[in-house]
Amino acid sequence: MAVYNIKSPGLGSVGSYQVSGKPFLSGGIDVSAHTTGPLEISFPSVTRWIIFTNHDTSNDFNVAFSSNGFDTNNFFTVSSDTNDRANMMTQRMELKVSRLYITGAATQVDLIAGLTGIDTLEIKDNWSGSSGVG
Amino acid sequence: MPYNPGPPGLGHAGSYQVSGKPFVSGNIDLSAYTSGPLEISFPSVTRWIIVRNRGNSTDNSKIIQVAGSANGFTTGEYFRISDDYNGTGARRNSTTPRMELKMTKIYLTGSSDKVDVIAGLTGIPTTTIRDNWSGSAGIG
Repeated sequence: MAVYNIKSPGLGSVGSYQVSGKPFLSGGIDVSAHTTGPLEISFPSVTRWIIFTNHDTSNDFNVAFSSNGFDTNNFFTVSSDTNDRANMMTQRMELKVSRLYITGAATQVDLIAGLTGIDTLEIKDNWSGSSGVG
Repeated sequence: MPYNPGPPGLGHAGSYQVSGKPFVSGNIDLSAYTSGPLEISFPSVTRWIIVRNRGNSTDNSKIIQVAGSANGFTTGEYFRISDDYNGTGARRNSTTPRMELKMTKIYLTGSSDKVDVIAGLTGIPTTTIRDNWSGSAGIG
C-alpha cells in the first residue's frame, strides 16, 4: 500500500514565512570572550527574521553571514548603547539564513530570531561565496 | 521536452513573501568617493533595504544622501540619513526603517566614514528592472 509521506517544507515555501516564527533567543553574549575568531551562531532551522541589540555601553560589534565577510567588508556594525543611539539595535531583518558570525569587543549582545520549520540543509554553506555575503 | 519555468518575474508575489537572501556592504567610507556617487549593485532584485549611518559629528556634517539613480541627486529625488551622534546625544534619523523596495542599485553620497547597507534579496534577475527605474518620476 502506498504511504503518503509529507516532506518538510523547502526554502521557497511561502507559507513558512507567512506564519510567525518559532522563537530563538540568545542573550548576554560576550563577544569579547571569543578571541580565536568570529563567534558562530547556528540556528536549528532557517530563520524568518533576525534582530540584534547591543547593551554594551562602550563597545560595538560586527555581524556577517560568513566568516569571510569580515575580510571582504560584507558585514555591518551595531553601535554601543551610548546616549540612546539609533544604531544600537537593528531593524527586524527578514533574512533566511542558517548561521551568522559575530566579532567585536561587546560583552552584552542579545540576538532574537524567528525561525521557520525549514531544514538548514536547504541553504548550502549559509550563502557563503555569494555576492554580499563573502 | 522538459518543462522549464525559468526564473521568477518582477511581479512574482511569492518572491516577496519569503525572507530575503542576505546582502551586506559594510563600513563604507563615503568620504573616499570624491568623483561622484557610490553605486552599489545588487546581484538580484531586492525585497528590502536598510541603510545605516554610524558617522559622528557635532554639526551633522556626516549626513548622507541616498538615491535610486545618479540623476536623483541633481533633481531632488533622494533622501537623507543623519549621522549617529552629535557629541551629547543621538540623532534618531541615523538609520532607515526596513524599506520594502524592489531595486537593482542604490547610490550614496556624503562625507560619512561609516555607512552600512543591508538588503534582503529575491531570486528575481536584475534584468527585469530596466536601468533600475532611472527616468521614472521619483527616481530621476
